[in-house]
Amino acid sequence: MGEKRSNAMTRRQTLSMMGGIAAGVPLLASCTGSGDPDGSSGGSGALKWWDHKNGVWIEPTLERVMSANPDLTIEREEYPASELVSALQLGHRSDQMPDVHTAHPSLGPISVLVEEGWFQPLGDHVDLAGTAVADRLVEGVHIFDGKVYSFPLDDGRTHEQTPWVVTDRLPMDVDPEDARSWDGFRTVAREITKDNVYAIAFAAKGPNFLDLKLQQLASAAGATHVGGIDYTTGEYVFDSQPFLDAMEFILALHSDGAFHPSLGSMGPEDAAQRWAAGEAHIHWHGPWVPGVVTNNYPELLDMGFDAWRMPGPDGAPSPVHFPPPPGEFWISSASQRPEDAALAIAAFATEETFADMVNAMATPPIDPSAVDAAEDVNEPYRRNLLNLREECRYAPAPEARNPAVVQVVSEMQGINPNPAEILQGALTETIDDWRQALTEYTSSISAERDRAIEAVASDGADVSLDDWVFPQWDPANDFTADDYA
Amino acid sequence: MPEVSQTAAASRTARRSDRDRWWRRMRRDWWIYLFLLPTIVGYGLYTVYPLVASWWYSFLDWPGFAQRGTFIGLENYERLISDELFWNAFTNSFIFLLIGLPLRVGLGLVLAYLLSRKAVKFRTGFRTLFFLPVVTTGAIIGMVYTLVLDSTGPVNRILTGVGILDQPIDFLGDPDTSLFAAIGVWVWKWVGITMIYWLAALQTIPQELYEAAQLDGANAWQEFRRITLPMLVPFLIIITLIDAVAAFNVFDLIQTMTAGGPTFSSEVIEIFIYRTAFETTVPQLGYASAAAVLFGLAAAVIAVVQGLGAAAARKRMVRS
Repeated sequence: MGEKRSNAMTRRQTLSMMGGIAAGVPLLASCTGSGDPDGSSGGSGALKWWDHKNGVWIEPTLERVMSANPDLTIEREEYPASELVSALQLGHRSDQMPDVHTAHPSLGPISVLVEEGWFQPLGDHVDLAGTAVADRLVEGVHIFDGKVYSFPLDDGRTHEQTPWVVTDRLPMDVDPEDARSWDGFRTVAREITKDNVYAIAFAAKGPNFLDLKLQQLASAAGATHVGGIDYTTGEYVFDSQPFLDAMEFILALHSDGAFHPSLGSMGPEDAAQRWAAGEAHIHWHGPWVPGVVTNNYPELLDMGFDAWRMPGPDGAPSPVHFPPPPGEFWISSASQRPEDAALAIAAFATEETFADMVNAMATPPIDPSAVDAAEDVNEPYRRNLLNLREECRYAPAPEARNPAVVQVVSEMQGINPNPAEILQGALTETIDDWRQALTEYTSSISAERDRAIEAVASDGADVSLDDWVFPQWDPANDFTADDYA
Repeated sequence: MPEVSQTAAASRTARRSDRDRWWRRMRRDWWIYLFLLPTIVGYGLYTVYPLVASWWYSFLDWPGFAQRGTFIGLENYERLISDELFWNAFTNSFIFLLIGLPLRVGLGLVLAYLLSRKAVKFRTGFRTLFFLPVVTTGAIIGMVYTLVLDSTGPVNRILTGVGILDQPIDFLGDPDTSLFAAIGVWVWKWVGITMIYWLAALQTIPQELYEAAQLDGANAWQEFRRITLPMLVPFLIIITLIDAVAAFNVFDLIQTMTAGGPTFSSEVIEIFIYRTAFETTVPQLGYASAAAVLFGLAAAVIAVVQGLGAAAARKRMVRS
């Protein structure tokens, strides 16, 4: 009572508070993401490595690098693809980039990233001559202004149209040759759909899977295109007959009742789970499925796990075309240790890494001899990789001949619904006249590219529709680095 | 003139006096502001700065990979106005609000009222059961409900089993039902927390009022209608506001259940923003920011209308 309230702080209170603030500063620093006090890559700590790839084949190589270089420590963080993109965008803006990272396509076109100063050259520190990747480097894709920035590890000629089956669960004997033509595939699919087990777990939830399905089946039907552009003419061909045929084929399978009825709420991972659980007979996907099965559903390996051939309209499909595979790992321009980063990256251009890729049953490596030499891989996996060599070809990359093409692509705005969304709409019956929708899309995207070309050209770039035309391209053969000359 | 001078002098004196008072207060209470500083800095960095930054970004052509964008004025807004998919997402967000909010607030009240009555047995157990989904991660619930609601899932088995449906419906994969199915899951997940709000509100009502009503012969419905509801009106405004904000934050649930599909049928504004910012060939951060700002303005209008409604309700209560 009567005691005067004092607002002054005692010495002890002041010291406690200062101590609290001192303790809090490192905590706040740790909120910046890396905890790196100077906020930049480099220094004498661990080399920071961010990627969105399968660690099963990446980590052994990094281990080898570290054991060969005891002073070098590499801290690898594996991100889901979408998270890597946002982490890199944020890291770039806040100067908290790792030393090495992968460049997911959603990050933006590579040549624009190079132009924006995201990377530093790899070739300044290591010489790739004599490695399996040396003759796979393409100007405008891996080389910029004569300097090597990265190199590919995946072969890139990898379609996602292999029907993976569990033979012992099929309700009847099926000769895989009977399912090679589209009509044969439909017949087999109808016949094996029995007792609430459907022929195919088809992932129609997101447009990305549908996009690949449509584009690659259109290739199988004879469309000589990449991303809907026919490089013999430079025109968009989403409304061409092969695309219409591919749409009809998918919709016919749906109307046959061959697809699992929950297709609209299934992504590719859901589809794999449903297939593995025995709700469907076919998982229609890429060459990495054996790796997924080995790791997650090994019981299927003893039940006749097998790969059929990609179906084509009349049997063997026309080649599916792919651009040159992009570089895998890139040295960040923020890295203060580009020599160490280059040393670690170069270690991937070796037979050991390619063997690790095959043994992990990931996407096929760029060195085909690794597939032939591998001994302990699942037989359907190996057979499918050999099939891919027959079924896939490299197409030209317009940006490799004229980098200004990328500026046009960057300038272009998306048109919706796009072909994948049109396919989704047709499957869910929200788009009745999908042929008209494809025609309208083709017309709109062509007009949008024309506008973008005009806009980029008016800014001084030398670019025209001819940059998408490669009259010397033979779609039956690979378009190699030498063909750009 | 002398009068003007006197007024000016008085004004100066008053200002000096205010300043002196402010300094005195600062000298006396400086430690209060010191303790407030972390909150102010944190709020500024993590709330005010992103908000203001998103306004600025909305005026930029910023493809994400660039260190900074190019100022393009109102172009992003002009493009948005004519973007059908933006308006589709905008509409879906408001459908979500208009259907989900009353369901969540109403169901929460009914549950709280029932579970606050002594006649109901195992009240604590039921409260826990209804609250459990609240503490479960939205993404997990999204994945579980993808299986529960698909055409071979238990919901369809029951509905076809009892003859309500002739054919199974893939609730999340059908454009006619995907948004409504997502709303249903959202209400189920969050009704538990709304129930807790209401339980807290119900405890503020004096028990004597019920006792008096019972002496007057009021039945349960009359008690609810004449005592409970009127006493809960101020809480209704607050709870509705909190739940309305929550109805605009449904990214994890929608992304895992439908990803906005099929064919944009369940694409709400958050999914639209995410898609344009991160899932296009060229990320469009400026455009996504413009969408966020425009939608934020619409949400602010709702909050203001709601605030005015709250004030009016309070006035009516005071008068009565």
